[in-house]
Amino acid sequence: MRMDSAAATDAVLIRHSLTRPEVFASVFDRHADQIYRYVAARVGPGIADDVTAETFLAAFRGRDRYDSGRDDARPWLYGIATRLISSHRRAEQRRVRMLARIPLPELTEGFEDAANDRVSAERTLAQLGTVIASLSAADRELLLLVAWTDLSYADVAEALGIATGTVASRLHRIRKKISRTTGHPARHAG
Amino acid sequence: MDEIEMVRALRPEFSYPEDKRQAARAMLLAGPAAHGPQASPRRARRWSRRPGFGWGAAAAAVALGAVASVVAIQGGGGAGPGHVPAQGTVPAQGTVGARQALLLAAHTALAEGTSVPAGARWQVRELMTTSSAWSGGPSCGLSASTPTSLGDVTMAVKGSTPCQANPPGSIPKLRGAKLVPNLPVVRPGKLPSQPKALLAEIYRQLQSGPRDSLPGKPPPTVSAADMNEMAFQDLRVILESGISPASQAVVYEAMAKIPSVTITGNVRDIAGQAGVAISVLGSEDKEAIILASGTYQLIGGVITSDTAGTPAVTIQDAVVWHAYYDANGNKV
Repeated sequence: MRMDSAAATDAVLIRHSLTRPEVFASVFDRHADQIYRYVAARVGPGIADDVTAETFLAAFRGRDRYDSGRDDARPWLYGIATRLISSHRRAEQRRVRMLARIPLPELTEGFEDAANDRVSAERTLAQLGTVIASLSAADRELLLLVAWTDLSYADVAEALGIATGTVASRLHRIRKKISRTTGHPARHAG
Repeated sequence: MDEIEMVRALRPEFSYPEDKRQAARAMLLAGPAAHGPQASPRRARRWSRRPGFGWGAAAAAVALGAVASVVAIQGGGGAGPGHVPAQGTVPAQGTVGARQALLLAAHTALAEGTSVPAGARWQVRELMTTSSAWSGGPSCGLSASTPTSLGDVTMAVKGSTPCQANPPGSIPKLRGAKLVPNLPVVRPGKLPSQPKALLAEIYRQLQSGPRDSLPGKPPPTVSAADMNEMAFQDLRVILESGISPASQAVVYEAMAKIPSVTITGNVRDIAGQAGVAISVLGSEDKEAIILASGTYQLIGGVITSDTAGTPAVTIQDAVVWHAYYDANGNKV
């Protein structure tokens, strides 16, 4: 029986890959770029090459345990990537500290609209980087999965192996911490 | 803009290099026999870099908090406030010169404590303001700067592409800039307060920390050169983390005990300040600190990273501001 890889869900592809390993390449093709971008943003492109490859290798090896009831494999893949990233926490800490000091033109414009003060905007960025760097590893993983991927709260919960309600409550605390540090009143995207 | 949007805006964008992408895909499809790439020394080194006790500026400060408190107690005797900053010359090459320079830096660090009032607790919350440029692309000039604390750096970017800043001369413009309020960083910790023991603990944690290995493969080994370079880098992170002058002296003395530490004379940091570079070379990275000529005060640093398959990156920073705070958070 032929399978339409483009139309098949991740779950279907993964199930088929148990007997035809080459089918797993379709899962890689779908998600490798997203996973790489997320990993590179967290630990840098040098380490991201290895971590991304390791993520899919680990997924491939563990595909027999994949929950076939979940059509979208991204939470599973992000979860694997997150665990691998955790072994590079030091590189990430350093990177986060540095990122906070990069004056991003497009971001600064946005801040200028709100605060009309470039210096204030850059200061906020620096504070933000400090806050992110000071978060616990678990909170940082949650925050960056929410902010740097397009996963839903439920997806993030799945990736981290926690309850969706826990995602919401921890995110609330993180928002408050950011708000306290940056001096910007907490606003919730809803 | 809510908090999540602000964080989202910080995300740097990278594209998966096509050759890396194809290599990963090919490895995935090559079959089980090919799924375990050999652990190269470079790979071994990267995998080994996991936190022994939670690295990073804040974590390092946490770790050295015990040093700060212990040394502060010891501050009443021996070297301490009132010392004259070090003056001298050292051999411009080799390990001997590097060690002498680091010991002079330790002396100078202690002398910087002269501005701390008697009886003040040396809970230093801010140590220095630095600026740096990330040189990995075309020259673009220093587009903006964000003076903060804790060994902060300022990257130069053009669009979203890191580019080379425009030193020397651009960084000193930051002098006198307002500082960003910072989170307290000195917290209780458990690192030894003596240089030899401190270095031994750094090595112990580097060697015994959990290491990743590929599935089915034993943990990779790390070369002595990389171990030395990582230890030096870790000590520098600690040095930047807002510790007291006395604790800085301990760190300098620990650095001096690293076997492969070496010195290069007559260098300039990114701000154009003259000094000597103390460095340790690993297989991928070279970590250097720059001490001012004559006084051996820390004025900057350079990290060069040349990982196979990725563009070489140089991160430079320059110390342009110092401040010490008492336990109540007041600048002294």
